[in-house]
Amino acid sequence: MTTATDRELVERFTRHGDDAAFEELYRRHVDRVHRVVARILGPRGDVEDAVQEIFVQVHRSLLRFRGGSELTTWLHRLAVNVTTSALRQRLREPPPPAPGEPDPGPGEQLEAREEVLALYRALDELPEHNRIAFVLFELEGMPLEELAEATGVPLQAAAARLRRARIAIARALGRGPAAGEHAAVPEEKP
Amino acid sequence: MRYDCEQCRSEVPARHGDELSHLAAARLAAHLAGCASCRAYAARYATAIEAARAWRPALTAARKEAILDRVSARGEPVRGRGGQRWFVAAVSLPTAAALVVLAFVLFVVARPGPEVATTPPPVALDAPREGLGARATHDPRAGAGAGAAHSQTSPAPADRIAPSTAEPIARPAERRPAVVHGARRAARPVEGVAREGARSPLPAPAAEAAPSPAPDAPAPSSATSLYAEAERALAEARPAGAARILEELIERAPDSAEAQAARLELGRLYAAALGHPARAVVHLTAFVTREREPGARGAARRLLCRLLPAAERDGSCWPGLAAAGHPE
Repeated sequence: MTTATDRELVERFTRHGDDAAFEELYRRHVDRVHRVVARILGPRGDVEDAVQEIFVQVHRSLLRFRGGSELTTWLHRLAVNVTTSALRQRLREPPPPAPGEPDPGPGEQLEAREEVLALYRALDELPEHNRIAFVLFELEGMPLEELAEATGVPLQAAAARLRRARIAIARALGRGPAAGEHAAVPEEKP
Repeated sequence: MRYDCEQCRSEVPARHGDELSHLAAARLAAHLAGCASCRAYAARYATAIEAARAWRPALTAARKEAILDRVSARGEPVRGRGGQRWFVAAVSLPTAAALVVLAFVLFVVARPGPEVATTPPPVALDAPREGLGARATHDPRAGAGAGAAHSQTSPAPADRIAPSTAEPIARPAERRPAVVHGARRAARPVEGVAREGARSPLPAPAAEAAPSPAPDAPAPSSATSLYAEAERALAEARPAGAARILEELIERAPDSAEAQAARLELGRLYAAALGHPARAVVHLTAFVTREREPGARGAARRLLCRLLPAAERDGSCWPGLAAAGHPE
């Protein structure tokens, strides 16, 4: 682990073809990128392929990184693009239903609790933009301004996506296991 | 009222994130106090969100390295690009056309004279063995984009090998090392490599001493052709198929230079694309044990170091090196 900044590593890689600098960047950011991708795609997502695709794009297009934003923001934008494509692909070619537990890829540790699976079942009903806004804001704790930058939309649009996602999640979770309980318990007027 | 419940539930996330105004928060709290179903919903939402936030999917170190290997194999090398932007910008279409013409003229000038053409073509020895007929002069390993990389008569330095489809797995920094080419070049022609002996001054006793097979005899599956077949499988993104062929190559001709190259390739394949580090360790260990060239041995040893558990490493990372007589 070196103490060089991201910018210095980018410089070394793009100007001098220093593969060690790229590897250092990769090791520095792969965990965060993997976590973001896994949270967007969910426990059943093909997370490793998406992570690989993101870093392939980084490897190929790091020259275009002008340093106008933080590298992490740029990585988030790439992650959003790649996962959006993956989610659309999943819509076209849904994965075979796995009985019981999710079927993570080899070596992956994507075990998740039932509550998490329930949330992702609700997220599966959302359009990919709303889903990504919800995950980045609610689960990753990304500020709204950063969310807008990562998703490449104005602040108001990002807020609108988040609002729509929240309403849809509320409806979906409302139909969850406690729906029976909801019916059984008479509503009290406020 | 139903509307109040829906509005309440849409505001629950904002409440959870502490984003509501005092007034809205008070209104929501009042509703929740009197509505059991909304309270249950708010609790369910909070549980789901907290569980999802606590869910921290992680990559193992081995998976990280496997992804890095694949990324490096697929990414384009950027060496010197920063310093070459001006050149790229300056090379216009006419300049490129002039370069093409110049290259063609040089090619014509450099062509061998008629006295070379009168010599018997070197394919004569190879043709019956390979059964390739008119293709006999063509090195099966030299694809369109990888001819220089794999030609045994004009090897290219490892760092100049274009990231062609012929080698989609190897990482740029570790693309087929020159030593492997060297080993394959200098190796005794094992089977079906009479071409080597005919084209180079190096003697090829095994191939020349071997009786010529009958013209109609089926072509033997040589180490060379197996290696070429494996490369084609790699180019077609069939790493598992390539691995099977390379394993077969090692089994059939374990002492050949191609087998040695196959060991290194199998080490990389199992380490990265196929995700089988234990097999990678076996092949890389075999490669390091046999390899004499320090550069290639070092590259393989570095990969071994990454694959071996920390407990199995010593000062030189791989304990078998000293025993193999190759102290690093």
